[in-house]
Amino acid sequence: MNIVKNIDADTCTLSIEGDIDTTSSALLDKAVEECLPQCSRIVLDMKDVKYISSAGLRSIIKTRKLVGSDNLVLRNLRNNIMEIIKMTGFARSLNIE
Amino acid sequence: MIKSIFWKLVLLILPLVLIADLAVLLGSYLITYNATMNKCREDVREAALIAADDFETADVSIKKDLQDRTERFDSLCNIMGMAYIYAEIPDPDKGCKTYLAIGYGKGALESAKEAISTGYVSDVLYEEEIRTFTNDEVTFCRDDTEYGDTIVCYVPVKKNNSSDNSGAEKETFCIVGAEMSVSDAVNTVRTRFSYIMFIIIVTSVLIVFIIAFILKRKIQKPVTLISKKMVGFIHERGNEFVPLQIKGQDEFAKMADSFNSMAYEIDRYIKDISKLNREKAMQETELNIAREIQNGFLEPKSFHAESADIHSCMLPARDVGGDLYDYRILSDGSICVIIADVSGKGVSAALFMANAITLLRQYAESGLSPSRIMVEYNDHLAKHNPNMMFITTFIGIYHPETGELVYSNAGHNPPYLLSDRLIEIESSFEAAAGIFEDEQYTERRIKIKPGDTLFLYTDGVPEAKSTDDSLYGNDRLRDTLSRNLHRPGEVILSSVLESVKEFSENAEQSDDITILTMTIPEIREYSLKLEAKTENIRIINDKLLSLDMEEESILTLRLIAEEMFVNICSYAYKNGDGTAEVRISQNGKKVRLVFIDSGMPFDPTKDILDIEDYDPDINIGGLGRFLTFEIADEYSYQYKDGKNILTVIKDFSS
Repeated sequence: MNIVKNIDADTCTLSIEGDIDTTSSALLDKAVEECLPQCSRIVLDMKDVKYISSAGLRSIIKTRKLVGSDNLVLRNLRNNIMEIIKMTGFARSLNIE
Repeated sequence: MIKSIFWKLVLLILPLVLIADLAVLLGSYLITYNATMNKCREDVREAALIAADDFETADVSIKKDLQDRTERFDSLCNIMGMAYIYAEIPDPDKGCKTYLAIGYGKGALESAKEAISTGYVSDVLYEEEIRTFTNDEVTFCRDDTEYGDTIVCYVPVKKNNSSDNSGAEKETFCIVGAEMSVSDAVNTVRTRFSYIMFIIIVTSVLIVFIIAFILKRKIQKPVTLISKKMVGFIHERGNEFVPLQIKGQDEFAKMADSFNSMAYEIDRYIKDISKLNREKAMQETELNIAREIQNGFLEPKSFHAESADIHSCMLPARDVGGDLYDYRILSDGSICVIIADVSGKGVSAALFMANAITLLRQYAESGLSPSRIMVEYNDHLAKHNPNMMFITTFIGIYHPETGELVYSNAGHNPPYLLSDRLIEIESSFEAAAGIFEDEQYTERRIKIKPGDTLFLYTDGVPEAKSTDDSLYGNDRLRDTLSRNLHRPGEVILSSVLESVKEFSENAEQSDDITILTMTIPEIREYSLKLEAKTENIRIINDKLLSLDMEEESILTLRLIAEEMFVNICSYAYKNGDGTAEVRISQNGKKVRLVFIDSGMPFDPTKDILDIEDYDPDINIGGLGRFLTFEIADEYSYQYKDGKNILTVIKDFSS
């Protein structure tokens, strides 16, 4: 999994490429932690994410807990990922663009 | 461009009438003119004669007498309406004349009055004056000089010799002339004629207009009426036709009659046609209903069972057809597939088909073998078949436990088996069903491997026509099937339909096209024995990615496998290392995943997370189990021989 960080003022956009699964979710956690001191708002661009497991979902929910649900945005979700998020019921409390 | 018939008539009649008017006027003018002239001559002659009579007694040598005569001439002029009356002595030798006395009347010019008096010699001498003087003739002439345009009458005057009254010939000593102005008379005639001309022309024009107006009414009214009626005949359809009424027996009345009879004919035709159309629409509606009913007889297009995957289609050529297909799982778990084609098309074929499908189902359900089904079904059909219709029928029963297809073929196109190669199902050519009772049918068997597809079709496929009337043919069908070996039944079916469609382009479908495919699912099984470490998920992923499935389905299977494998790593072996086995078995679109480990007994299907209370820091593993069992179609857990065995089934065909 690759993450490209792009900081603009207090917003940090993380463009993720690859699968977010048990082995890679820690990388996402780390990337989020790294930008938190500077940024209060986090955008996860998931255009190139085909697969997400519960570990990845857990990272997203952890991030939401850290920055608050208003300051986390999920962008460019694929249909299958959207389906999984809907299944958990988290879709209601996440900003999905 | 003159559009109105009225103006056309006016322009046609008016010149003719005007020409006639002018001719009449000219004629009358000439006659009147001549009559006026004659009257003038009469008048001047009379005046001249009276004057001559009077002048006979004159003594020209006495000046006083001549003066008297002049005065008398003046009064005579006034009485007779003459311009001049005079007595003169012409001198033919010298070509001049000498006036003895001259009286003036109406029409005499002042210049003449001043110039001419007694003794005046004029050098104008007419031939008529000479003739009167020398020959004693009464002569007339037209005298158009500076003294006016006049008619003159010359009369000789004889010397009245009182001494010699014995009748001796008297000698002409002078002549008397009476002149009357012509211009007045002519002007009177002309003035009168201009009035007459004006009145006649105005009257003529009026008459022309009146005639044109009457003709217009006579012609235009019926023509307008007829043309309105003609337009109305189209635009006011729906109302009852009111016949055109034109009185009389002229051409217009005849035309109206012809129009009326034509309108009645057209009306009748239109009514006939509408009636036909209504009947046709009704028939079509009924046929549509019949088609729906017929389609309702058939089983759904697709069917998935553990032991077979069935796809079918029936495309009737027009309206209702005589093809049928059927499939069913029999009570012993075997699968019966049937395809049949009734001779002929349309309603009769559809009715026969309805009977046939009912019988076939009934006999198939009763557990008979294909040949027995065929015999019973044939007998039943043949007994009640006054029209001698027949139906080619193929019945096959597939037994999953032996992998054998037992079949019987009553005159139907031999089906194909798509195995490692394309095989035409060998058939003994036996009579189509429905004709003869007590017909015997044989039975054959063929092995079908998992992954093979049985392809049943009716002759609508090879006999599909292209626009140039050539047939699709068995060769093209075999080619298409050969290219699709080892592919799912629905792909084979759609490939054949596409190929037929491409071949026939826009040609009208000539026969019903019915196809049924039965694919025996190939069960693929894999077993992975792995150390229970999370990085080994990669190995499971690689195996899942090699499955012949859609990408989305594989992603779903990856999710289940990852969650359950991580679960084993984190719970079953939380106190140490161990191994786990993952078994994957794919049956078409249905996949079974089995996870086996020898760790601590742990039932992951219990105590599933309540998602409302999820906290990422507390429920570390709960979300994965929640997702897995949400996604799975079936799951079960057992602890047996010291092993945790979890089975999860996902069927992607639904």
